[in-house]
Amino acid sequence: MTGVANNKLHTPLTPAVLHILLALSAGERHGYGIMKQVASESQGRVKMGPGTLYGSIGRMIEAGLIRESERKVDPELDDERRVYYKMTALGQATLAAELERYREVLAVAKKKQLKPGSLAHGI
Amino acid sequence: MASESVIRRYGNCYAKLLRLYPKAHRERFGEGMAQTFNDLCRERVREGRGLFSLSLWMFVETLAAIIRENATTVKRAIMNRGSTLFLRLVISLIAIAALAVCIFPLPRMIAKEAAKTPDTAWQIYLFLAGAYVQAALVLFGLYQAFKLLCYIDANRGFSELSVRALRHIKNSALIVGLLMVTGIAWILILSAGTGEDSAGPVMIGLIGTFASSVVAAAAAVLRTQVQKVIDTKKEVLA
Repeated sequence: MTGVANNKLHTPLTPAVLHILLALSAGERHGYGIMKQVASESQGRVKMGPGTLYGSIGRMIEAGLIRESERKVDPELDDERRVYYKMTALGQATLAAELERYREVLAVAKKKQLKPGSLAHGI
Repeated sequence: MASESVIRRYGNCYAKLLRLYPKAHRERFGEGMAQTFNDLCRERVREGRGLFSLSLWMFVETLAAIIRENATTVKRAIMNRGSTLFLRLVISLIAIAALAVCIFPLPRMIAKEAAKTPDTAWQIYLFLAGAYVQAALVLFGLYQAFKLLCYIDANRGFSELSVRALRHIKNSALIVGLLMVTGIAWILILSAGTGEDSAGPVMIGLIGTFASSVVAAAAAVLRTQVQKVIDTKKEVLA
């Protein structure tokens, strides 16, 4: 995660951070819930284990992108209390800035009539 | 249930692995990581698949994360304490070198010189005693400098403790300088009597006197400045 600190909006984000923010954009989740959402949204392309997930969560908390919410039970799992995480206002702004960056890149690609799957040098 | 006991066994091994994380990370996220590990294992069992490959992957992945977190922690510690860490290392090396010289070559050199002139050997041994007193003062001064750096690390650079350490450094350097001058005079008197060339030892003595004077002066100036800051802080807080 490059240079995110002290309420400055810094992009680009690493894939792990981007997907965690996307997973939390719909509401707070616990660690396992974030993992499942990321795997689902990326169609299995972004695979992270607990080490990567919680390492990213730790750095995102330090950068102010997310924060710990409450400890509560997930009725779909078991009766253990789990820590939930939610996005902060900075996290929302950072995600919005990152998605805007993707839109701009996509606009440039459309202008050059580049399609997914085609090569840039005209095949 | 058999699968639940297998999950528990893998979970216990994973919990042991988590102990390799830095303490802060372990305390904050250890429980969550263990829960996530168990959740993934249960999901695998529900799908009717084996646990070994999943657990192996998570163990390796977590181990890589552990190495990364520990490296980050060490890097942060070095960055926070980088400048004083280097200085403390240098001071430690100087102290070790000084101690090594006192223990190994110096006594042998002096004994060799004393054996050449047995009648006046006591003068040479007196010189050795003076050298050891100076070495003790130099080591004491280095120890005070080390303590001063520790105070700076602990954000107590502008405190009475630092003033005291600087005073000790100044006094040690002054006494070493005085002993050096005495030693030079002693060498000149001895060599006048025997007619030996004493330029080498005198030069060493002069360099040593100059170095201790510089250290004493620097410590005195720093002590004055630190005391001024402390006095100003007291006035502001009063």
